[in-house]
Order: sequence, then C-alpha cells, then structure tokens
Amino acid sequence: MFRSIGMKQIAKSALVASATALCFAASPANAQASRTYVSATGNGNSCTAVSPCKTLQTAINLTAAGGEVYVLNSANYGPVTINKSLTITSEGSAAGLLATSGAAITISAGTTDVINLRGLDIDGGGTASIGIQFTSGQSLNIQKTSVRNFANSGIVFNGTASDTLFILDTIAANNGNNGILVQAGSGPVNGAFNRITASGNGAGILVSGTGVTVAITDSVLDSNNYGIGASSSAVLVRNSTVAHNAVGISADQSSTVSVVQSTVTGNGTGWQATNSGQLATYGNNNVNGNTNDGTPTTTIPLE
Amino acid sequence: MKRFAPILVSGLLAFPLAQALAAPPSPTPQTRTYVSGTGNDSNACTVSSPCKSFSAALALTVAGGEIYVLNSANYGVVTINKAVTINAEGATGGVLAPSGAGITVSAGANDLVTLRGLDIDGAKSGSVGIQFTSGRALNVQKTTVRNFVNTGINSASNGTLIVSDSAVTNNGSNGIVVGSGSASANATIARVTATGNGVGILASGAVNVAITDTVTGNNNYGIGASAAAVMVRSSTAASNAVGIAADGTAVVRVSQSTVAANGTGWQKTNGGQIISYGNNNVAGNTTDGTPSSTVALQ
Repeated sequence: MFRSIGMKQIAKSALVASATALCFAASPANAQASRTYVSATGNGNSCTAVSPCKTLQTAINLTAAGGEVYVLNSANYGPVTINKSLTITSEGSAAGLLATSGAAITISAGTTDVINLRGLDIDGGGTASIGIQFTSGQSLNIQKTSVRNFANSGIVFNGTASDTLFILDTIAANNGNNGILVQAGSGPVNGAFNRITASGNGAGILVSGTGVTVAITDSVLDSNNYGIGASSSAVLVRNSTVAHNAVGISADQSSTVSVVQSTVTGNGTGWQATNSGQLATYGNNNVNGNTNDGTPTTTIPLE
Repeated sequence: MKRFAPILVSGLLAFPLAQALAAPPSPTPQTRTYVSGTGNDSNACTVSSPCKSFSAALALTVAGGEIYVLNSANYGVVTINKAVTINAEGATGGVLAPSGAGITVSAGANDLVTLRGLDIDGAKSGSVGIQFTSGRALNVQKTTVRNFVNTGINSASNGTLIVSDSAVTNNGSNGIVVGSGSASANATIARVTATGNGVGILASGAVNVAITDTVTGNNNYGIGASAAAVMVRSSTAASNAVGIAADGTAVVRVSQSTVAANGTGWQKTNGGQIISYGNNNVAGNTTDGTPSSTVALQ
C-alpha cells in the first residue's frame, strides 16, 4: 500500500512537472521572435501582435537579432538602447520617443550590425542630450523620422571603419548644437542624406573628421547658425536649399565642400571657406540675396 | 433584515460615486496627449482616454510636448500659444473652420510649433487656414489647406515659416502669404502645390522667401512678390493668369524652372525685377514676358 501510494505520487508529480515544462515551452516570454509588436495600449510581455508590449525596449529585448519591431499606433515608446541588428518600423503612425535626459536612442551594436529606424518622432524636451546616438555598428538607416528639441544634437553618428549612415525624409529641428553630426572614428565613414529638413539648430548638418564623406541632396537647411558645416571632411551638396542661416555653407579645416544645382539665399554669409577649406562649385548654383554672398575657392566642371 | 439590505447597497454605491465625481476635475498636463474621433474632451487626453478636440488636448499638453492624432476626424479650430507639435502621421488631422482662422499660432519668441499631417478646410467661409502671428518658427509638413475666403497660410510673424510636402488650394486671396504686416519674416517652401488661389505664393515686404520643387497652377498669380526677395528653383508655374510677378522693389530670382501655359509667363511691374539664371524654360505662354536681367550661375 505504501508503495502503491508512493507510485501514484510520483506519477502525479511527473505529470505536473511535464505540464510545467510544456507551459514554459509554450510561453513566448522567454523566446526571441523575429517580429515583435508595441502598442499604446499594450500590456503584454510577449510582444506578439495579439499581445503587444508597451515599450520599445521590452520589444527589442524580445526580438531576435536581425528582426523587426512593428509599431501599431502612435504613442510614446522610449527611450531605448539597441545592441544588435534590428529594424523599428512605424508605418502609418508616429512612434514617439521622449527623453528628458541622456539619449533617446543609443545604438551600441556589433561591427556587422545594421539598424533601420522608420517613422519615429523623437523629442528631447530641451533637456535631453541626443536624439539618436550611434556609437558602434556597421550601418544605420533612418527614414521618415523627426528629431527635435535636444540640448546637444539631434543625430550623432560616431562612425568607425567603413560605417555608413543613410538618412531619408527626416527632420532635425531646434537642437542646440547640431541637427545631424557625423564624426570620424578609425577609418572612412560614408553618409548619404536625401530630403532632410534641418532648421533652428546650431549647425543643420555638420560633417567632421578626416575620412568622412557625406552627400546631401534635395534638402532644406533653414535658420541654423550654420546650414551645412564641414571640418576636415568631404561633403557634396546637390539640389538643396540653404536659406536664412547665419552662414549657409562653410568649408573649414581643409575640408572640401562641392555644391551643385543648389540655392543659397537669405543667409548672413552665403558660402565661405576658412582655414584651408575648399569650397568647390560646379558653376550652376544660385548664390544671391545673402548679406554677403561669399565666393567659392574653385570651379570644377561637371563630368 | 430584508428592508435594510437595499439601503446598505445604495450606501455602498453612493460612496464610490462621490469619489468618481470628485476625481476627474483637473487631469495633469502631459508631455504627450492624444485625440481621437471617438474621444471626449472631458477625458485626460491620454492614449487610452483620448480627447476629441485639439484645443482640449493643447490645454493638457505641457510646453514643448506633442499632440498625437490617433485616427482621422475633425478636431476643431485651435489657438496655439506655446511650443507644441501636432502630429497626425498615418491619419488625417482635420480642422474645419467655417469662420475665423483654423489654426492660430500665437506663441513665444523661442517657441517652435510643428504641424504635421493636417487637413484644414475653410468651407468657403472661414478666413485663414493657419495664421502665424508669433513664434520662433512654424514648420508645416504634409498638410492641406483649402477653401478659405482669405488665405491658406498667413505668416505675419517675425519667425521662420517652413512649409514642405503640402498643398494650398482654392483660397480666395492667397495660398501662402509671407510678410503680411511684418518686418522681417523668412520662409522656405519646398515641395508645395498651390492651385486655384488668388496668388499661389505671395511674398510681401522686407521678407526673404526660398521656393523649391514647387508647383503653382490655376492661380491669378502663381508666385508674386511685392518689395520682397524671392528665390525660385526647380519649380513649375503653369496655367496661371500670370506665372511669376515681381512688383514694387521686389527681386525674384529664378533658376531651373518651368513657366508654361500662363497668360503672362513672368512679368515685372513698378520697378520690380525678375532675374533669370538663364537656365529656365519659359515657353507656351500667351505672352512669355522677359526677365529684367540675367545673372550668372555660381
């Protein structure tokens, strides 16, 4: 009898144990998914479409490297740190990230990691330091995003060897130092910016450091201290409007800025080259109506 | 005992009811507030309890904050008196203004106001779609302003106006006017369509306006400048009575642009100057007109 009861007990606890194991296996809370979801009204901890999470950081932690976080509706989801290949997509809604100190998005990823950010609305409230801070990774792509009201800078890209930054359809406004800052690390860094509006910043776009090359096209730089600034770097500007800045385009410290088919008007100084900077024109720009238009250092032929 | 039971129950009910009535009077202002077509202005304007009007949400938004539009609806006219962003990404933030102004921006000297994704309609009786009276800067993105008796977007402020990816249509006097009653307003207008207005885009007085990648059509004047400096690049003026006009002491510079199918292509009057960079297409107008001078590209 004792033996038989004992057997039953063992059998029962084995059943319980296996049920518990099944339960753990079924729970997605501990698994990383390739796609996760956040919602304004989410309160789940699995970040699935039917049980979305409420913060991006929770979703990021549950997203496998190379996966996507989908934003289901407009709300405040931040701030976050990203340490792997990841895409955050907010198509058809504004994925808000509100930071009151530090950085709203910190990207500190591996050397082959690619990070995509789409449809974000990032606000520093005048007190937080940086909107998007890239400290490591291989490539950062930003689309349809607004970054504003940061005490320091909207986007800071501290690239190392061969890192790339692509920004499309994005607005950087009212940031104390720079709207977008690209800085050199060890080795070349490349960037291409298309359809950027940078207004009310210290420098709208500042490209700094040897080995950094950035192409700026179809962009508007308005009401900054410097519209486009280059220091020891290479910048190409095409089809862009640089207006109402203290200085429109500045090539400083041996940098080369090449300008094609662009408008530079209503600035204190239109374009200037200082400290051995080179300001090269393709000879087809509109640089008039500034307090001081300035003069390019060279004219180069279209190829 | 049976007689006491209902009294006890109603006593229990009365207490939480009193609490519920006492609780909601003053929701705390938030950095982010929300409006929804099914919201209610007695709500706290949170995401789970959104408001129904921009004005209610604005009252509960701290300076520098955002109002998010959760779905497409009419959110009513609003006067903005502080730094704020209204963001209707993925929805249409409707403002129906059958009288007066749709949105009045009357903010502080350091305030940035951003409007994104709005659809502002004057119903042929409202006066002005967006009236920019004061503020450091007003950024208007992805917004439509139409059917106002007077003007779509009226910048009478010393602040900077930036309008991009937007349309101003069927406004009686002007689609966009920069400088009405102001000393030194600046504006940049990029990727805007101005059609069916009196003047599509008007720069008036001591202002500087840069216009790029913009289309003006079916206006009495596509682009007009009076005593102002205007730079037009990569833009199209078509099917207007007058495509581009410089009046008074205005200087309008034009580059890489198309001026076609207007009554008069470009015209200068009363000492106004139209300066061409020599790389425009001005053809197919009843009268093409001639620029005042040509300036070399730089």
